[in-house]
Amino acid sequence: MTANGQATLDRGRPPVPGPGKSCSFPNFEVEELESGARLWTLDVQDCGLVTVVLLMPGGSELDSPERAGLASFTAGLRGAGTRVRDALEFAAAAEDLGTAISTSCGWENAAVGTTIGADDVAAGLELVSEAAAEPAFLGEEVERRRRRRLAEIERRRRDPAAQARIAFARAIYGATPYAYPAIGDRSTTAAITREDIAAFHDRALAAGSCHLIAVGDLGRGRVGRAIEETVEPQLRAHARRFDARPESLEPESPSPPARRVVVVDRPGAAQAELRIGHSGVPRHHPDRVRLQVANSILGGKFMSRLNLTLREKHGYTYGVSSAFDFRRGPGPFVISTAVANEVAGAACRKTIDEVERMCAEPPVASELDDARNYMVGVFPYTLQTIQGLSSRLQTLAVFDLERDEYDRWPERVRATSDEDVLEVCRRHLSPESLTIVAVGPADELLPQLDGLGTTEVQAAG
Amino acid sequence: MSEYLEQHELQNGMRVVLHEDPRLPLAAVNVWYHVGSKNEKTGRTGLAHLFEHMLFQGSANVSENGHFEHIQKVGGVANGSTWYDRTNYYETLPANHLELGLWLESDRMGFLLEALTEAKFENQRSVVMNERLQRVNNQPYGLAGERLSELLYRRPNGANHPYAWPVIGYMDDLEAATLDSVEDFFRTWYRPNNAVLTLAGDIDGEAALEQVLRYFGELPSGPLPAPPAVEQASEIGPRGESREILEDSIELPRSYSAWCVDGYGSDDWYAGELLAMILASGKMSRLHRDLVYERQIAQSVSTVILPTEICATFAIVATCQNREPDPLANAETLERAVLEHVEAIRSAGPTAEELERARRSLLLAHHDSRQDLALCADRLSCAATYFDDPSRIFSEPERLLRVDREQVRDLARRALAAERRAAIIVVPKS
Repeated sequence: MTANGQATLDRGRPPVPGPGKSCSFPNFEVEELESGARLWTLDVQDCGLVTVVLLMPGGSELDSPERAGLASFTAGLRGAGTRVRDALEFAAAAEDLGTAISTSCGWENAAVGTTIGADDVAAGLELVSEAAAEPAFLGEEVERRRRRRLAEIERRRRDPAAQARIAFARAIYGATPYAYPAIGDRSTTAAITREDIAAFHDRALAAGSCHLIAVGDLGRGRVGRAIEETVEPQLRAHARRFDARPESLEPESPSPPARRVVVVDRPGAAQAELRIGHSGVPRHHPDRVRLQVANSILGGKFMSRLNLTLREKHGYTYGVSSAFDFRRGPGPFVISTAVANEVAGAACRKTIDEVERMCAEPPVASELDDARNYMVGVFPYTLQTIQGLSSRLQTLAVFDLERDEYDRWPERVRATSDEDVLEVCRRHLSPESLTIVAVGPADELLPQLDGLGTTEVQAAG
Repeated sequence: MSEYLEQHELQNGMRVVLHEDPRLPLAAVNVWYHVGSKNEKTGRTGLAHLFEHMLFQGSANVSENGHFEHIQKVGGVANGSTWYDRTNYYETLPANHLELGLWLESDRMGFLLEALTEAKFENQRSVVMNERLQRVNNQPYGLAGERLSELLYRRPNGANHPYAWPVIGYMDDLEAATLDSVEDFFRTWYRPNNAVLTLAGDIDGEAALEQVLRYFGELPSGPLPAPPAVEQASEIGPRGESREILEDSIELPRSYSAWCVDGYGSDDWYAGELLAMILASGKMSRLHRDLVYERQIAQSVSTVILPTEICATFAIVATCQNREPDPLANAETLERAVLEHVEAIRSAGPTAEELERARRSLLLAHHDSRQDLALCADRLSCAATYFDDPSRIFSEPERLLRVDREQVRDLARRALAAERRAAIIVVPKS
C-alpha cells in the first residue's frame, strides 16, 4: 500500500486496486431422505433466520393448451386450507410467527416455502409440509381463487408490458406450453375443475422428485431433526418418483426463416412497448455460458451495446435489455424496451443492427474483458442473503446440475474467447427470423415498421 | 454479527459513516445528498431527478459513460435514485476496488460542472421523458398517485406544499428545464456539507477514513439554503374531503384514500407503520380478510406510509375484483367498505393479537433486510442524514415495540378523519 494521507492525489486516473480476494460458493450438504426426497442444507451461522423451500414437480411446462394455467392454479391453492386447518386458520398460524407461507409455480417446478425466525423453524416446517402434502382444495376456495385469477387476467389486458409478453410468447411458441401465459386465459381458467386440480396435485406429490432446501441459522442439526419429525413423515406416504414430461417444448422453427411483426393496437397509448427475439436454448445446452457472455455484451448490463445505442446515444428509451431465459426447454431470447411512439421504427432497426453486428464480427478485446470481469465480479452479490443462496441451490436441484457448478462457472466465463462469442452468436442468434412485438397505437406504429417483416395487427386484450 | 460502526465529520462538514461487515469480499459506497424534489419550485419540477441523471454523465476526470464503465469493468454495480427529501448514489464493488468508488464519487461531487454539456443534457432530458412515459403516462393507474398527492398537499390558501408534485416532475416542466438551471442546482446543493458518505462491508474502518480524507477533504463547503421546516400533519392536508374521479385505460376500478401523518422518525410515524400493517398486510389483516377473502369485492388491498421528512402520506389503495355491472358503483362500494374499517379502528383501536402480529412481522422484515450490504449502507446514510445517528437503524425495532394499542388508535383518530382525506376513484375509460 503506497496510498496514505501524505501522498499527492492524482485525480487524473483511477486508483490502482489492491489484490482481490476470491469468493467461492459456501459449502452445503445434500442427502437423500428415506422418502426419496433430497435434503439440501447450507448453514449461515448467527443470522437468526432460516429460509426453507420444498420444491416439488408440477411446473407450468406440464400445462396442456386446454388447461393452460392448471399448474399455477393448483400451486396457489396449497395453503388455502388444508385437511388440518381452514384457509384463515392456516394464514393466522403463519402470521402469528411474523411470516407467511408462500406458494409459487415456475415452468419446471412448484414450490412451498417460508422465511422464519430460527427459533420458530419447527412450526414453519409444519406449515410448509401441511400446505404441500395436505391441501384440501375445498370447492369454495377453488372458486374464490378462480375469480381472482380471472380478474388478474382482465387486469393484464390493459397492462402494456404484460400484453407485450403475452403476444411475444404466443408468436414464437406455436402450440408448445411456453406459448401460454402461466396463468392461462379466460376460457382455460373457466374450464379447469376441482377434480383437475386435485388430480394434478396428487400426481405432483412424489417425494422421490422433491427437494427440501434449508438455508440459514440451522443450529447444528436442529433444523435437520425438525425436518425428520415434521416433513419426512408426510413425504414417506408419497415415496415415488414423478416421471411425466411435457410432450415437446421445442417450437417449430419458421421455414424459410422470416422476420415477423406483430402490432398489438392500443389506440392513444403514450409509448410503445417492444419485445424483439426468438426462441433460445435450453438450460443444459453446452453453449450456455458463452451465450451469457455474448448477451452481456449485447444487452445484459448498463454498458451494453443496446443500452449505449438506444439510451445513451439516441435517447429513445429509459432502458433496454436483452436476456436468454434458460429453461428445461428452449426459453426465449428477448430484447425488451419501451420507447416513444415516434421512434419505434428507428429503435427496432437499431436493435436489429446490433443483433446483426454480434453475428458479423467478434467483440473487441476490451468489451469482452469488461463483460467477463463484470459477470464474475457481481456473482458474490447473489450470495449475500439466505434467499439468494437458496435460489442458487434451487437451480442446482431443478436442473440436476453438478454440485461444483458455481465453482466452475467463473472459469468457464473467463475461458470464453472473442471467437467463441462470434461462434455462439452465429449459431443461436438469428437476425433474419426475429419476431418484433410492438404494443401501442397501430396507426402511428405501422408506417414506421413497414418493411421489417410480415405484419399482423391484433386488438389489445 | 460483530458491529463496527462509526460516524465522523470532516472539516468541510461532510459526514462519513463506516461499517465493517466482512462476510463477503464486497464494499458498498453510498452517498446521500440532502436534497430532493421538495427543494424544487412550482414550474421547475423534476429538476432534482434530471440532475441525478446528469451525475452519471461524467465529470472532470471521468468520461461521458465512464462512471458505469469503470464500475462494471471491475465487477461492480451502481445506480442512484431521487426521492422527495434526498438523492442517493451508490455502488457495490469488490472490496479491493473501494478506492475506485471514492475517486468517482469525489470527482462528481467536486468537479462536475466542467464536464456538463448541452448535448448530454438534451440526451438525458429525453431519457427522463421516456422514463416518465414508462412509469406514469403509459402505466395503468399511473396518473392516479400523482393526482392524489396534488389533492392531499394543496394548502388551504391554494399554494402547493413541497410534496404536492411528483418526484419525476411534470412533462411541461421537463421540457422547459435548461442546462443553466441544472448548474444552479449543483452549485446550491451538491456540497460536502450537504452529504453523507457511508462505506460498509469488507473494509478497514481506519484505513478507509484516511482514504476518504484524501479524496473528499479538499472539497469546499458552501452556504446551504434553509431546509423546509418540519410541519405538524394537523397543519397540512385538506380541510373538508377532497375527492375526484379519474378515467384511465384500465379494467379494474380502484379507490385511493390518503391522509397526512407526522414525518418519519416521529412517534406517530411508527404507530402509522403498525396501523398500515394491521389494516392490509397479510391475509389476516382487516381489509384483506374482509374485502378480498370474505366479501370478494376487492382484488387487492394495500396500505403504505411514506418515510418522508416534513410529514408523511398514509394511503390505502383498494382495487375492485369486478368492473361489471357498474364500475363507478363498484368502486364506491369498495371505498365505503374501506372507510368503515378506518372508522372501526379509529373508535376501538387494534386488538392485542393484531398488534402482536404486526410487530412480529416488522421485526422479521427488519432482520431480513440487514442481510443485504447495499441496503444496509443506504439505511445508515438515511439515519445519519435525518437523525445524525446511523446506529438508529439498529434501535428502530425498539421504537416499533414501544408502540401500544392506544397509540395506534390515537393516531388513527387524529389523522384519519373523514374531513382530512384526499381521495381518487379510477374507473375505466368509457
